[in-house]
Amino acid sequence: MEIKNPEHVLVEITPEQLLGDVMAFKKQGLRLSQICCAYVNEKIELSYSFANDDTNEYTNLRIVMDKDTEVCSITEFYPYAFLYENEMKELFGVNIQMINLDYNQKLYRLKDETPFIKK
Amino acid sequence: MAVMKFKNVVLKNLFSKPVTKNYPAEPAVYPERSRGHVEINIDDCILCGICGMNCPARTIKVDRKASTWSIDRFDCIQCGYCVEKCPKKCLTIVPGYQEPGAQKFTATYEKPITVKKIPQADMDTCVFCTLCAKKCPKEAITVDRAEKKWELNKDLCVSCGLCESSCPKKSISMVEEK
Amino acid sequence: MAKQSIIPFGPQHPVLPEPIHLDLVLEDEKVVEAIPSIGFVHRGLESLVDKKDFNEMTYVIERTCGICSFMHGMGYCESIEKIMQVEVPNRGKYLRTIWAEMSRVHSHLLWLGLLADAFGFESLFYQCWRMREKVLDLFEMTTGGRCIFSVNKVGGVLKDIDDVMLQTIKVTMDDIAADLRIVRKTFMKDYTVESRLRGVGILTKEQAHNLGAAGPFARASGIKMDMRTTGYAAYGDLDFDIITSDECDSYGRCEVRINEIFQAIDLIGQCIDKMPKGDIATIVKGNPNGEAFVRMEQPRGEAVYFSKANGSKFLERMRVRTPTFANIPGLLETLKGADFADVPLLILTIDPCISCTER
Repeated sequence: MEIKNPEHVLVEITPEQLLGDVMAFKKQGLRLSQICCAYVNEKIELSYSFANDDTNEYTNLRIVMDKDTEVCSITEFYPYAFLYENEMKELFGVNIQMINLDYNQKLYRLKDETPFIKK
Repeated sequence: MAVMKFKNVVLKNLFSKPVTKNYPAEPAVYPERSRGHVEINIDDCILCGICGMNCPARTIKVDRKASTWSIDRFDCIQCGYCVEKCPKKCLTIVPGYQEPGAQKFTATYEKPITVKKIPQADMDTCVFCTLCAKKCPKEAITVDRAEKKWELNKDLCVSCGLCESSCPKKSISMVEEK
Repeated sequence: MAKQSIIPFGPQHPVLPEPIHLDLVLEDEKVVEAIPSIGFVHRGLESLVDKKDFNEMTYVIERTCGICSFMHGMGYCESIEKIMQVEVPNRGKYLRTIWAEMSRVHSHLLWLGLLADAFGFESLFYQCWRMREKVLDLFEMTTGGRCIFSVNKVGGVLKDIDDVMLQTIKVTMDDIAADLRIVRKTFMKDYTVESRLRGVGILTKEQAHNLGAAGPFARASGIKMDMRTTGYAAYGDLDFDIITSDECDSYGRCEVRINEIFQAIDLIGQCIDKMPKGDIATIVKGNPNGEAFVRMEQPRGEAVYFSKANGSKFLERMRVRTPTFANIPGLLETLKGADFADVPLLILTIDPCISCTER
């Protein structure tokens, strides 16, 4: 079996650029591998990872933004992103607009609101 | 015909011995490496507390004043990290699981109080290589190569002896604290 | 028009070892829509990075799941090694590969047993779990634990497998392969089993891609995708092919997993033959600073590990994206149009691991 392991790519973008970039990836036929959120230095860091399973290329879109900045849901292009987005909304309180299937903070059964934000 | 594919297996199982053991009439056999519980050789222990600080489940408590080492065996997750970290290699993880009980309890081991030993460097042979300072788990040793200074913070020192064994010039010796 | 009704499925159900809840919209006996609801076993393991240092986190992460525990620890360690640019010695890499492939054998055998149980073939279930027991005994012999191995550390592995043990592993694996060949006939050719699996829960290649499916679930729909081809651990030196099936149904998923067990046994054999001599771990000094993504092929599919460190001994963020998380949307698609009686079987065909999913 041929081994292919290209370097992972990290692209920094703004929340406004997100939908355009994601649409371009969708057209290229990439698979959404994961969405991850981190809370670093009082800023929200979102990583959208896209995988190409033929070449094993891995591209990450990185958004660094303030806590209340709005970001649009990508469920329009990748319907299966709804689980990731609900998770981020619930654990980090990321302000994600227009998720196709919005659980309204009921995905995990939590005692505290946004437990992953360090006080 | 693609039916009765499982017939041969069933017949074989019917006329062969059971694969299970008659437990508890026959005792279970654990392999040598089985991680059952943590055991301590208290004579070698220097109560440095490194095991307790690194325990992921925070189940080991070391009390230097009372000179005791204790473990809550019900909270222990048998990961073996304390065994890995122990500078004196006096901890081992051996087969045999903790028996279930109605209440949690702590197993405490006492060590007779002895005079604390601290490292002392022989300034004639010391080359100020700073290896001892790097090895020290408590960062109790400060070495300044420019000023030719070797200093020990006695309160932080836990007498583990790692500095003594790591010194390339063998200029550190453990002496009783005055 | 048929009458619609909603039936709650789970979180407690005989087929589910772990809790997941589905609201099934039925039209007579056919499922029209399924709405998932998870979150019964969310433990917040990822947020423990604030309290445990990056070495201790190895033991926390491997307790995410009881079945793929080794791979979780390995994925986490590789992400930290990638940040710190530590090269694991060759022998360490081979040992990790052996344990990872043994995990795959045991996980797939467990799944085969559960599948047999789901379609009501009790004695086949016992037969599969009897084989799995041998793998667990090997784990206990080599690592000291049956489910949680605790042999990974940042920089390598903690325990070595000596030559005698390697030969025992090889002999036992050959035994399992021989037993599995007999059982395979029942899974693949038996009339009753086939009638429960063939044509049930169809997910076409296109659908699988559009729903982001991963692992054997995607490979059974003909998608060539296997993270082992990125060559982590020792996979770069080994010879293997991606196993796929064009059946696109439950039968295909069963076929892929059975063939993967044979492949895993073959890979373990290759590792034992090529096993290099030398150290099993490198000494790691200092604290990590930076971030890294690592992808791995778990028995259930692609898992993503993300670590972000800031130079202190506590990590900034640690994330595990488990394969079941990616497969739930695919599951919902296969449920549409299925018979109500097939729902338990279909949930099982994605090999759900809910505690992994929720962490």
